[in-house]
Amino acid sequence: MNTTAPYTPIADSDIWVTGIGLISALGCDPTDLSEALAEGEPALERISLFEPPAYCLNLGGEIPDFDPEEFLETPKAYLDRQSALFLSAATLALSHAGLQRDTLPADRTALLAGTAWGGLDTMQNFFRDFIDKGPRLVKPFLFPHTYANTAISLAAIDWEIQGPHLNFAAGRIASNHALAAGFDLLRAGDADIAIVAGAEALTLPRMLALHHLDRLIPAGALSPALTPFDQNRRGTLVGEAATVLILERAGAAEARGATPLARLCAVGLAAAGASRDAEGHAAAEALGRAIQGALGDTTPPGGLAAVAAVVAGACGALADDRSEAEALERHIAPAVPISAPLGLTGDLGGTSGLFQCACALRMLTVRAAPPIAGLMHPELTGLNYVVNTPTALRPGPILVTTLAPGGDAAATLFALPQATSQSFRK
Amino acid sequence: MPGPTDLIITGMGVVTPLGHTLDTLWQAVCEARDGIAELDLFDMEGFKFTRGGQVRDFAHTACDPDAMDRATCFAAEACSQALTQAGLGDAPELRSRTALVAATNFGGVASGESLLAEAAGQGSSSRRDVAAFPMHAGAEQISRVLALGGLRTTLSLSCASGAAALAQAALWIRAGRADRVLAVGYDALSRFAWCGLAALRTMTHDAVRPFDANRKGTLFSEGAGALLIERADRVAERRAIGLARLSGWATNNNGFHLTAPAKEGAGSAAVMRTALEAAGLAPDAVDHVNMHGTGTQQNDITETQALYTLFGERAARIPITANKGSLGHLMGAAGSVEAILTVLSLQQGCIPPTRNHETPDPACVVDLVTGAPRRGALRVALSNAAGIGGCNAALVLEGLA
Repeated sequence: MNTTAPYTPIADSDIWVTGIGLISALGCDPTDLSEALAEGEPALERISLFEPPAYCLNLGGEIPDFDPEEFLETPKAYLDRQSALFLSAATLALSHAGLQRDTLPADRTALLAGTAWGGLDTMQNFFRDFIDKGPRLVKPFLFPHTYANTAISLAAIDWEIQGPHLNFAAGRIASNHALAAGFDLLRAGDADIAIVAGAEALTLPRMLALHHLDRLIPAGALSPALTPFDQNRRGTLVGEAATVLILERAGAAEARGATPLARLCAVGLAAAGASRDAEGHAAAEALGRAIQGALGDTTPPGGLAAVAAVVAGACGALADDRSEAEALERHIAPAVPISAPLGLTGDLGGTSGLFQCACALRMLTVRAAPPIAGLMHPELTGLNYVVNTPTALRPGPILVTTLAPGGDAAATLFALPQATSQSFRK
Repeated sequence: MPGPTDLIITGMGVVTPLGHTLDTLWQAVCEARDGIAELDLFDMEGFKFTRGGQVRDFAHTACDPDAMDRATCFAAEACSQALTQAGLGDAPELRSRTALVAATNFGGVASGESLLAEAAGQGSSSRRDVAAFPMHAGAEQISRVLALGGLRTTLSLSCASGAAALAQAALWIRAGRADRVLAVGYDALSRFAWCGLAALRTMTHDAVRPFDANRKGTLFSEGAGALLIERADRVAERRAIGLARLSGWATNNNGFHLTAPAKEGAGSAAVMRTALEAAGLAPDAVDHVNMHGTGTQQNDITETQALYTLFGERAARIPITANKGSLGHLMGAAGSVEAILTVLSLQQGCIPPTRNHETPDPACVVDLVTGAPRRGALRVALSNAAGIGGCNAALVLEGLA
């Protein structure tokens, strides 16, 4: 077994990542993100955006002092928080990729986005007026900002992007589906550039919803710490972020002199469908199928040793963390280091998957896997969880796994762009 | 003859204010009946507009109303009809490998109103309401009650949602992610949506009069439309009956303005052209266009301009129709129900009339079918959709005669 072999991309045509834009509680710069991941200090603080009710723990992954005017070319006071996060991250990503408004090929640029809740704070504000004042005294200008597609539409308007346009409102898996759509559109030649975005804001209705669905750490918990994969975990916390990746067909990117950050090798998707079970085995099987989709159908028993690391989506959720660990035990070699960065930010809703991808891209660059916050007693012990300090990585692709409540699953494989043609399979 | 990877529509289903079966809907639109009436779904006190397209006498045959929002119930029923027509009603193995793309403007917002009220410090919400609210809840619940085991996702692209669902389904099949996808567009009326749509100042106290010189706005409706799309070789393997071919599709954005249409309908023209290119067809091949046709001043003018951009002077001679005259604007279901009516037009060789069109608009010189259905052989049809935020989607459908 050659565990250090470079990989063979599954894709016929190469898709490069040429830009990252990130607005997160762990920083808004890729270098800051790497440092925060390595330090392993959770960015979970008392929430200042709203006052949670007493039955919710006042703790979340709020982006401190976020001011969109620091990022946007022109002031846009009308943006709600989710749109502001989205547009800010998109601005950073386009700049990072060296793309300007006047050089962006409008009808050959696809815009794909994912969000679980969209402009939920504007929905809340609009509906509060309806309750308080009646239907004739609501603010008309608010309503267009309540749509789930408001943020992506504003981005299209801002950059005059007129290519393929899809907005996924698919819960926690939403940005993974956007990434898959970008990958598929580029490979089919329907676009030269795909701007793939995920954005989720920290809002009171979202916190209340997760509370009612028993996903949050209870207010009376002895410890409010997020502990992904730990047998004593009590739930998750809400966080917020926006992540934008610029994908390009390699030929088009080379032609404009772009620098590839990584190669997006494959995106596997699956869903548990009707066969859900209380133990989460069906969700684990769905994630297993997604992993097989990303790594190829010839996965040998025992997993793919040549995967250098896994960036898991675990964030302390009671059922989903176990299902994810179960799938990883079944499909990934025991020695592969496992990180879980959402333990530092809380559940990022529909942008969870794309934020994980940003973490994976940084891990490819710095060749280290960050530790999992708070993990002391793993529930399933057959995995190489990274704890306490970062683990140096050998060369090889990085796998991102995301699992949503309900059993929607995604697995995404990234590698360094210079990786060549030998098999990475075991 | 379809090629092995052609996309074939094998099943369709509807829930609309004009009927909950394909037959009743088709008969109603061909007779240009009116689906608009006074609403009594929720307390209309204080609302400026009180008429819309409400689904009535809806039997819950394929849904779980204790868990599902009203909108999701519509979608589940439409999906169930599509599966039955496609011959998958008693085929659990095939259903277990069927994917689902659900698309909606507002999802389960009627259920979510209690959560929004709780956040405003007024009342509390139940676990049932919270679980039925998120956009993605519909797809999860539909896949559960109909035993669909394939991929699933949810799109939200305003009133282009229903058509975009078909585009996404086609993308999945073309990328090898699925062989068979159920695409459903759906929405229900709710206090939240009605209040907001009224605030947009696009509604009218009059009827919906697409392309009429005296049109004053649109009226909104609720319902669902579902289409099952399969790879042609899979259809052949199981000897299913194809209804039509989905030969081209596209989505885009105007990149112009959040609520105003693009100048001269540039986005609509582009999305229809891209869909035709994807189908490998020239504009000359198009026999019929099912228009978005909302009955608003701006939409109908710019959509007409888009036709002229795409077809040149032939735009005045292509028979078009606008189902919203009868059905109202079905929001997230509009694109899918109108695609279904387009398939039925191809099958029947018949274009249903546009209700309420009485006075042609000199700014909209088009061959709008009015009064009675127009019969004739149809081979290729376009279905066009658009929505707030500048979202556009277009579908090219071909008959299988």
